Amino acid sequence: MLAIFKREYKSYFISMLGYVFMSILLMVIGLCYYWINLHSANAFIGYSLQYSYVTMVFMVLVPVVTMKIFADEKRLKTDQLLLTSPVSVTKIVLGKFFAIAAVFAIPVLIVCIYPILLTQYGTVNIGMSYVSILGFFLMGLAYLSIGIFVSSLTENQIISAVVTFIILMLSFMVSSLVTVIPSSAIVSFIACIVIVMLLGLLVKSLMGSKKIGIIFTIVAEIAVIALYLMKSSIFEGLLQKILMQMSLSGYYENFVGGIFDLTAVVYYISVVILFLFLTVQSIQKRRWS
Amino acid sequence: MIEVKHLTKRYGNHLAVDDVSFTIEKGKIYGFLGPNGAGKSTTMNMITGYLAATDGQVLIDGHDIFEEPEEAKKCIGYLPELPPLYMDMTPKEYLEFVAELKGIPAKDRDRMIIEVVELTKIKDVAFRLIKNLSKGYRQRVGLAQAILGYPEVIILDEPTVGLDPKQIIEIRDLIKKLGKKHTVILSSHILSEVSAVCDEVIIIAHGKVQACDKVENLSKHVSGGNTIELTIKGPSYKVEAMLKKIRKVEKYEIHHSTEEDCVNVIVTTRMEEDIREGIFKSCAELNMPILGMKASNMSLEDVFLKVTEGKATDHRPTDGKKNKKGREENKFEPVVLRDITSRKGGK
Repeated sequence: MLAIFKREYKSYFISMLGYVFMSILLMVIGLCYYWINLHSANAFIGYSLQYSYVTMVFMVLVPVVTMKIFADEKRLKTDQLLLTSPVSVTKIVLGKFFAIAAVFAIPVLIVCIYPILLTQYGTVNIGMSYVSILGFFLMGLAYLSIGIFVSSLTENQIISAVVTFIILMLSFMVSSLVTVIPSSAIVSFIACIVIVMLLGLLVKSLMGSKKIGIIFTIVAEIAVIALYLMKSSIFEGLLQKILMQMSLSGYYENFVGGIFDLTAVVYYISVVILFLFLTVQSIQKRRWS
Repeated sequence: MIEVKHLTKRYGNHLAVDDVSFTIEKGKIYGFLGPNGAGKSTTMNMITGYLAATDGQVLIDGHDIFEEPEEAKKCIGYLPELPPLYMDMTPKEYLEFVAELKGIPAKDRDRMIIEVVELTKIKDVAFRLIKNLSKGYRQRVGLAQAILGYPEVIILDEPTVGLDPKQIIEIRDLIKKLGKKHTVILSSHILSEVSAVCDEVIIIAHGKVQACDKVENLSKHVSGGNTIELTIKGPSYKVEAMLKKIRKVEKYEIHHSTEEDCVNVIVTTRMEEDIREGIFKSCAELNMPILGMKASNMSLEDVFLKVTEGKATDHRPTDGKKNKKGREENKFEPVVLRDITSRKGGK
């Protein structure tokens, strides 16, 4: 695992990708922090980290930094080396994830200096600042793990980057979309039917078996329909609730205010674990097809 | 050392490897022989644990590759068809990475890396980026990776593809050297290579093991013709008339020769017959000098052709994934064999 971590970490600094990622991220955060400080005399870093430019740039940078992580291995056939070496797939995935997390940690640590610098010019709540930086870091890890998963699905870097960006974008837009969706039970019901079908497709492709996919879909659809017939009130506003769970940036709201939100911490860590697990599964699955 | 039992791999409807079983003993060099798309690489990928099998079992030193992958993989060094190299590293960095990946203790790493670098003769390029290396050097770096740490089993998938003749000989010598201490499995569709290097040959075609034996025993499996190549000075009608008179001749072909007034003749007889003397006497009677005569016995390529031919029609790639291999297969027969005969002749 350490070997993979080291190689991966180094590769970011050989190929400039790491420098590009860090410098652009730092530049945007720095500019926003500077701008916000000048305009509203607010030294709190949370607002800068949530500022629209930062969010947008970050959503572009994450796919760029994760796109090659597995896609390139597959294209260059170097995955044959990794998968035939005495290292388990979980360790390979973890090694790569920690490498990418370490690259991401560098700009975050540099950002940690900003609040300290500003204490020279006034009072800054250091504790709150660091809580929001921690939140930003966790959110970033969740983004990165999604990118890693997408990269493991394809051998084309461009597809990997575009798909990751679309997922992050949708997850970002979800909180605004929710307000325009009707909250009636029937809408949620139809949405559930569609979601179950999509899940069925996912199950089919992950398990590599049509039968399991179809059985899963039918059973789940029956469950949804039965639930709707018995108690339709459950479905009221359900779609909104489900969609809000997918809003990664939505969970960051509390951190922005400097509140240590344990739910969000658990949420982000779960997202990371879930997507790393899915990555392992998608690599294992490829051996079977 | 390695036991392969009823190994099967299915891609959709296409059966890439079909119920393959064989045993590999310690300290021998095995050759996997077969046309392109025969299932050599798939079999090797399954033995090394890169691919999962649809059915069957692979035991490496008693460890099941699918049940205890980490234990089993420790015994294997693998060079796939395309060397798995990171282009942005130098061979030295790359080998250091592989050594760590294979879990070689830190104190042995430097020594072992120096040893394999010397064995594969990549010292000159050890500090250049792999992306700037030629195909031959990349292949050797890949080989260095496979033998690093001296695993008990070394599996090489077409190790000499893309190398120049001198490098091919060097690599073959290296493989022979390795074969003294290790079990080596190499795949190839170049027959002369297998007969030059290997102790035992496993012929695979259409996903099945067609034959598995010592090189010298294999020719006994198949009875075929005995072929003589002749260059005779004289007009072709006279040569033809003469050949018709010799009863033991089963088949003959007459071609124009590049030499003036000469013809090239290929004569086939039954296995046990030797008609060289007969031809000499007949030619002497007709006053036609024989400028060249060469007997070619049943060789590995004949065995190979015999074993693999005739079934090509029932084997068609069914899904999109296999199309590439299918194409390679079509171009295989004439090209490769011509190549071999010419090389053999030169030796």
